Amino acid sequence: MTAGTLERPRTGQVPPRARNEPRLVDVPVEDAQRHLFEAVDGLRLLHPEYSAHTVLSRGQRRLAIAVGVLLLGGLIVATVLTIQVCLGLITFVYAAAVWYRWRCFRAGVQNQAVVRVSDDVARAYPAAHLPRYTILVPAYREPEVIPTLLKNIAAMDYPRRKLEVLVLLEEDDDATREAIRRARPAGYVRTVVVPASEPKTKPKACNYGLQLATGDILTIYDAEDRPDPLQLRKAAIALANLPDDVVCMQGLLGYRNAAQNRITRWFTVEYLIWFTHFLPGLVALGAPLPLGGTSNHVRTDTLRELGGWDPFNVTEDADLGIRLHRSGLRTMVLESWTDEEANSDFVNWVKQRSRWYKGYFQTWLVHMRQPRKTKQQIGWRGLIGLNLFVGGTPALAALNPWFWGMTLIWFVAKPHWILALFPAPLYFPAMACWIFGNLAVIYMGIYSIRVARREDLVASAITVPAYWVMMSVAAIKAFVQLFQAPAFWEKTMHGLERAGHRNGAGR
Amino acid sequence: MTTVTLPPPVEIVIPSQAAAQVRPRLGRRVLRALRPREGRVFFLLAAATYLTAATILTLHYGVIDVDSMSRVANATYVLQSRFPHLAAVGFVWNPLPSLADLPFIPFAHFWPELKNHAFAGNITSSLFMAGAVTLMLGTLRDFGCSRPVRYALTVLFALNPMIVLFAANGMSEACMLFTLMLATRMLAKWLRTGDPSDLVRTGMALGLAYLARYEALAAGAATIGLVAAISFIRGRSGVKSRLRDVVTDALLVGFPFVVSVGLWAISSKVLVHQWFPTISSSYGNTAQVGAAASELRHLTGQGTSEAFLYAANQLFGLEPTLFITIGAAAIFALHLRDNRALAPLAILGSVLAFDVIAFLSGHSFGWLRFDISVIPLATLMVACIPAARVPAPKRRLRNPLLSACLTTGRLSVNGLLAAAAVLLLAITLPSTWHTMMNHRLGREETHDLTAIFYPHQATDQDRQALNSLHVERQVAAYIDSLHLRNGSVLTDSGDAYGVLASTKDLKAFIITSDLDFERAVADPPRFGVRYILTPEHAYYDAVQSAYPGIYDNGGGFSTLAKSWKGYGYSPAWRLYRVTTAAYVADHDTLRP
Repeated sequence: MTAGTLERPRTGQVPPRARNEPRLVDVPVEDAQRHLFEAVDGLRLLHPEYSAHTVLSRGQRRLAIAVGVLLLGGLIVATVLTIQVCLGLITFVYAAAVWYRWRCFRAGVQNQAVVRVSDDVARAYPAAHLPRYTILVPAYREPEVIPTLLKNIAAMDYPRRKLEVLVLLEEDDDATREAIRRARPAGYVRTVVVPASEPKTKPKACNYGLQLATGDILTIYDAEDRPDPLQLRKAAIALANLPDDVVCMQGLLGYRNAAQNRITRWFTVEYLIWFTHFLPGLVALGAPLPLGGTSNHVRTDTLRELGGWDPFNVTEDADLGIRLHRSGLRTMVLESWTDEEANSDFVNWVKQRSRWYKGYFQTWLVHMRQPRKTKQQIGWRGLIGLNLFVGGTPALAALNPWFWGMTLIWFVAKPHWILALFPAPLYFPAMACWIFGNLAVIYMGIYSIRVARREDLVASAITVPAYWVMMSVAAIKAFVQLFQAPAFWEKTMHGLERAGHRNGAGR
Repeated sequence: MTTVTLPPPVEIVIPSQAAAQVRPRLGRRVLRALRPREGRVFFLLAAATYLTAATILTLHYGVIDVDSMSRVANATYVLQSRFPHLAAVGFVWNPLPSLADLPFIPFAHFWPELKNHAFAGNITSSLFMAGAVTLMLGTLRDFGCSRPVRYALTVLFALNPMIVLFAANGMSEACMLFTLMLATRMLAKWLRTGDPSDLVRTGMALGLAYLARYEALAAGAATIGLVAAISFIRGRSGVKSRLRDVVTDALLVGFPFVVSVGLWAISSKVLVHQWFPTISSSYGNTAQVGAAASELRHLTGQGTSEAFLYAANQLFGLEPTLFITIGAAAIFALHLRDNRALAPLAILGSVLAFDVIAFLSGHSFGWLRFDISVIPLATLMVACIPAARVPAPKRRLRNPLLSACLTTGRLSVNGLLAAAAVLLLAITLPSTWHTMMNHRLGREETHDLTAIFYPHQATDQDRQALNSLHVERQVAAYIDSLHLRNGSVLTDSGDAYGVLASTKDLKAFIITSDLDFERAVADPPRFGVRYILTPEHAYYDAVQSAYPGIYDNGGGFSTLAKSWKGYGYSPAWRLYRVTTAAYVADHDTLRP
C-alpha cells in the first residue's frame, strides 16, 4: 500500500507534486489510529446514551419484555379483548401520525419557514468575509461517478483558498482511488483513506474526515450530487446573519432524473413534499429536524462538541438533527437546491428505503431512552414531533398493509370472525382513518407539485398508493433488520440514471 | 496594523419571528379571539335575530317544517335508537344538516322542545345562516366595497324575508347557503390571487357543500370547469404544459369534492345497497316527485310549457332586478378587468340553474325555496357596482378649488354607485315577500306566513300550519304512557319521524334504521312486536308494502288499539295491537 508521498501544504509553501500521484492527505499512523478510534467510538464513550451501538437501552429492554409478557398473557386470558385493544392502539398511532403530518404540512405552507438568500447577494458577498469551508464527500466503489463529481465541485462558486474538499475513501477501494488519480483534481480536492474497520459506514468515514477538517463550516455531499453553485455562499451568509443558536442549514434536495421511470417520479414527488413543506413545517412547529443525507451545512466546532455523527446509526443525518435540537441548537432550511440521483431500480430502492426506515427506528429508540430528559431538552412540541414524525414515518409505512388487508377483507369476504373480533366502533374508525389519511397524503402531493410548478408529475402524484406498497415492503424489511443487523449499511448503487433522462430544470 | 472590516449587511429573507416562536398562551389567544371585529359582531347580531325569529315561529306559533323534524329525528336515531350507530343518520338525504343537530339531542332531556318541536334544527339553521351572513360581509369586503356599502348590503341580505324564514325554520337551506358562500368566497379569492391554497379551500368547501345538499353537484362541476378555463387562459406557453396546469388545478379544487361525493356514494352502497339513494330509494326524491306528478302538473304546469312561466315567475318574484344586476356587474367587471364576479355566478348560479332545470324536466317539486340561492347571487352581483368606485387620488392637487371640485365629483359618483346598488337590492325585499305570500308561487311558505301575519285572511289550510305535528306528539305521549319494553312498536321512520322525535323512549320502537328491522317486518308476531304504528297516505311505508291494507284492517294479525285524526301535514295515525294467540301468551309482559 503506497502512502502518500506528499505532505499537506504548509502555509506559504507549495510543494512540488510528483506527476500522476493522487493528492492524499498524509496522516501519520499513530494519528490515524487515534482518529479512527475517535471516529468509531468517540460518541459511544462520550455520550453512550446517544449512541445507537445498542439498539435498546436497558430500560427499553425491560419495557419490551414487560409488554411482551402482558400481550401474551392477555392473548391467553382474554383473546378478543386483547386483539381489540391492540387494534385500537394501532389505529390511534396511525391516526396520530397522519394528523401530525397534516399539521406539519399546513405549518410549512402557511409559515414559509425557509431562509432565502438571493443569488445576487450571494455572488456579491466579499470573499474576505467568507469563512473557510470543508466539503466531505464519502465515496465507496463508485469510480464511474468521480469525473462528474469533480466537475460539479469545480462549478461551485467559492474562493478556492478557503475551500477544502476531502474525498473519503475506504482502504479496500482501489478502483475509486485510481479514478481520482486519473482525473487529476485541483489542489483543494484531497483524498483521505479511512483505515479499514467496522462498522463500515458513511458516518464513520465522515467522523474520520471531521478530525482532519480545517473549515469553519462543514457540509457533506454524495458523490453524485450536483449542488447549486452558490449554495456554500448562501449557507455561509445565512449562518452569519441568523441568531447564534442556528448552527445548521439544511439545503433542499431534489432529483434530476425524475423523468426516468415511474419509481423516480414517485420519489421526486415524495422529496418535493418532504423538502418544500414537511421540513419547513417542522421548523415552524418547533420540532427537531431530521437532516437530509447531504447538503447539511454545520458549524464544525459545534459538530465536534456534539461528538460528530453516530457511526452505528444508518441515518446519521437524522440522528444529528435530533441531537442538535436536544442541545438547544437549531436547524433551518435554506432555499438552495442540490440535485441528486433518484433510485430507479426496484430492489435498490427497497434496500435504500429499508435503511432509511431502520435508521429512523434506531434514531427514535435512541432518543426515547430517557423520555423525561428529552422532554426537558426539547419541550412537548419537540417530543411530539420526535415521536409522530421520526417514529411515525416508518410506522405509517409499516401499518399501511395492515389497514389495506382489513379493508380488502371487508369488501371481498365478510367472515363472521372478523365482525366478532373487530366490532363496528373499532372497525369503522380504523377504516375511516386509513381512507382519509391516504387521501390526505395524495392531496398533499398534488398541492406540493402545484406549488413547485412540477405539474409534469401529476400522474405520479395520483398513483402514489402503489408507491406506498413499496414503502411498506421496505418498512417491514427495516423492522426485521433492526434486530438482525442494526448497523448494517445497505449501500445504494448510483450511476443508474441514463444520460437522456436528466431533468434538473425548473428551480 | 491590519484594519478589521465588518462583514457587509445583507438582506436575506428569514422566516418571520412568529414562525420560530412559541404560540401565545391559550388565555391570550382566547382574549384575542373575543376582540370585537365586524364579522363577529354581525354574526352575533344575526344569530340573535334568527334565534328570536325561530323561537317565535316554532315555540310560540308551533310552526314546524317536516324536513326540519325529519333531520332532528335522524340525529335522534343515531344516538338514542335501539342500535345507536352513525349510519342511522340516513342516506336518502345528505347528512350534514342532521349531523349538525347531533350535539343538541342529549340536552333534550332537560328541554324536550329541542326534539319534539325540532328546535335543535332551528338553532342550527339560525347559526348556519348567521355564518352565511358573516361570510357575505367578508366577501363584500373582498370585492372591495367600502364600509357603509357592505354594511348596507349585508343587512339587506340578512333581513331578506326568505333568508330570515329559512334561518328560523330549521331547514337545510341555511346549511347549504353557508357552505356555498364559503366556497364562493374562497373561489373569488383564488380568481384574484391565483394562490393554490385558496383553491384547496374552495375544494374543501365544495366537498362540505355536497354533504349539505346534493345540488352542490352542479356547483362542483361548474367550479371545476371555471377553474380549468381560467387556468388554461393563465397558463404557461405551450399547449402541453398548459393542459398539465389545467389538470393540476382542476385536481386541486376537484379532489375534495370528488372524494366527498365518492365516499358518500360508497357508504350508501355498502350500507343501504344503493349508490345514490336520494334518487333511487323508495323514500327518495324521484319516488316522491313521481307520486305527486299529477298534482304538480295541476299546480305548477310542470310537464307543460306553462312550467317555464311558473319558474320565471318564482325567480323574478324573488329577485325582479336579476338581469339588470347581472348586466351591471358584467359591465363593471369588464371595466375593472376583474373576474371575481364569476365566482358567485359559477357556484350560486349553477345551483340555481340545476334547480330550475330539475323542475322543468319533471324531477323536482319546484318549491320556491329551491331558488333561494338567487338572493346571495343578486347581492354579490349588485356589489360589483359600488366596487367600481373611483379611488381617492394619490396626490393632492395644488389648487384647492380644483381639488375640492374633483373630490366632490368623486364622492358624488361613488355615492351614486353605492345608492344604485343598495336601491337595486332594497326593492327586491317587498317583491320577495309578495312572492312568498303568493299562494301559487310560494306553496310552502304562504301557509305559515299568512297564518302568522294575516290571521284574518287565513284559510283552514293556512291555520293548519300552526301548531303542526301536534298529532305526532299526542301519539308519542300515548305510546310513552304504555311504558313498553324495548322493541315493542314497529313503524317505518319514513313517515313516523315526528312521533319518533317526540317520544321519550325511542328504544321502545323498531325503526327502519335498526339492523333487525327487516326481520321484524317479515314476521312481526314471531319477532315479538306488540304494536304497529302506521300512517294514512304514506309515500312509501315498508310495513304497508309488506302488508297492504294494514292501515284499514290490521293485516289480519292485529286489532285497532287507537287512532288519531290527521291535521295539516300530519297524516292520520293508527296504532294496531298484535293479537296472534301464540304471541300474546308468551310475550305479554309489561316493562317493570
